[in-house]
Amino acid sequence: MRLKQSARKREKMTKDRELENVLKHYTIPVINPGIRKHQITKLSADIQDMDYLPPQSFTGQLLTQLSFISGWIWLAQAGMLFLLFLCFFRADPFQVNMMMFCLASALSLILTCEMSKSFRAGAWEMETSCRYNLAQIFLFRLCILFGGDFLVLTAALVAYRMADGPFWQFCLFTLLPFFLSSAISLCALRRIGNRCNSAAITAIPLFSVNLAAWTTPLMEKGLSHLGLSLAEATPAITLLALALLLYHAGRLCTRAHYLSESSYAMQK
Amino acid sequence: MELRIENLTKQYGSFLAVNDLSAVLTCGVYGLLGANGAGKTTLMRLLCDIQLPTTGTISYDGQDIREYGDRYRNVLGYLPQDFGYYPDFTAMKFLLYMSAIKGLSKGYARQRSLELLDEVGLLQVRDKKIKTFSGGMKQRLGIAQAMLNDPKVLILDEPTAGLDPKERVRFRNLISSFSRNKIVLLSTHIVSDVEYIAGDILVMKKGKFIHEGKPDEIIHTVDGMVWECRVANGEVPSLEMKYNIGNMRTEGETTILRIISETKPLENAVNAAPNLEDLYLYYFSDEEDHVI
Ligand SMILES: Nc1ncnc2c1ncn2[C@@H]1O[C@H](COP(=O)(O)OP(=O)(O)O)[C@@H](O)[C@H]1O
Ligand SMILES: [Mg+2]
Repeated sequence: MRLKQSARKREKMTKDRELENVLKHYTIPVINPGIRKHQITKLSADIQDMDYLPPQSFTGQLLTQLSFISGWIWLAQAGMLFLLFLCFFRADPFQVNMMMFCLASALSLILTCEMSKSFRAGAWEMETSCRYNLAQIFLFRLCILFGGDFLVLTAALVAYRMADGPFWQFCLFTLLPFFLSSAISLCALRRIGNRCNSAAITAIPLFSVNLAAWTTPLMEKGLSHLGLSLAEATPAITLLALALLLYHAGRLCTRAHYLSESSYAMQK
Repeated sequence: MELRIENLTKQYGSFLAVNDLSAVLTCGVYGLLGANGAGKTTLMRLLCDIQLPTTGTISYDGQDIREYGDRYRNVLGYLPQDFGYYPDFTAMKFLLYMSAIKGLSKGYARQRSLELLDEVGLLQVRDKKIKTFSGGMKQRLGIAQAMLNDPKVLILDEPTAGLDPKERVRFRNLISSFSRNKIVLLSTHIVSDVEYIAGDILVMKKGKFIHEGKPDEIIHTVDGMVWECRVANGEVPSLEMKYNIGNMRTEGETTILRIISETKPLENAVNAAPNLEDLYLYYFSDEEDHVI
């Protein structure tokens, strides 16, 4: 038993010596202290990163952003809906349509104000340098605001239908002006960028929503030439306006650089 | 960790705001010194990918910062020169908002925000709306937001604008303690801001680096060009027209002048030991708006 053990031990020792002999022919590589230090700092940085930069889901970030949307816009929208429901059933069709048109203008104005607040407040440059840059912040805000608008417009539609308004008129007096003026405002916001100010941002949606109203008679005339009535064509035109809005929303959320550069040299 | 700038150029129309800059920034505090319009803000915006360069590249650890994308922004902290806040936010809410878009976890964000508010002396007013803040307080809040994510690359554009002398000292100490293992680049046209804390100074003029080095090294470029002399008060205006004059101190009928000149300006002038202020005057004497 003991013999066997010692034989094994001897065998191991010779093997060790052989290995040592082999290893003698090789030199231990010198690790460049610079690289070593670099690796260590990089690793420790990675470990630190893991700590406080957790991977985040889109919905998680959306919910976080929800708490930073201005509170007044929810109040304003709820207030408008309340008024709408209060007055709706006592008004005649013309008044109802006017109210719907005002709702559309207000929604578009609210959307533009909230979307432009980074520029108006001057916080856009700080935001651009963050992990979620300005384009992504715009995306979060648009998702939240469109969500709100969807709820308000659905409620308005329900009320409108209860007051026996035809769907195409709802499109004409509410959806179309809202989509169109929001599309124009978002397009303007992207183009104006950091030169944006409060006056422009109130004027643009209000002006473009009126544009939608003024062009209705022209549209009607044009359609009658084509042998179409306003009632038939409005839903399709509304869809087109929606597509335009989504297009401009998309452009706004994918732009990487918002700083406007005047081409005039501002030399003294 | 290094930030490499290669042949960076930014052109507005025909005007070169940043003109073929190359530099390698490693750990340490860099002071970017230059008069108004030298191109400091433009350079910093390029470094933060807020603007596209006309030509040239910026790479962080060997990779273009634009390819790095949000991973670069994760290690970036930036304080712009002109900025504003959502007026209805409180200081604490603003820092939590910035933490959220910097992707920090909620628990860490709270902790870090309180810590930074304490360091910039705004802990008492954390629940006050920002619109009630003074200019200096807003500036300090801006510095705090830049440091939220413990950035490896911290870029501060005129961070001491609007701070009083006491706040300036506090700011310097904050940056010194923060800057270990980080790249800190701060721009200023105020020499004393960078004199003590910057390990390296980059002097920028008309979109170019005209000098870079340690403060005491670059001071030597004006060795022998700084003179002190005592003249009668009446002579001062004519000397002012002729020479580049730094400090002057009136003592009774005479004035002691500090003149920056390559040749001996007056018989009784003696050489004085140069400082950064003299260097600045030497380089920017032709800029009308220098502030020391
Ligand atoms: N968006 C812009 N469009 C056109 N010219 C600009 C723009 N931004 C800066 N400039 C010009 O570039 C030059 C450098 O400006 P800037 O980088 O702000 O200098 P500094 O920060 O050193 O004072 C200035 O002459 C300025 O007029
Ligand atoms: Mg500047």
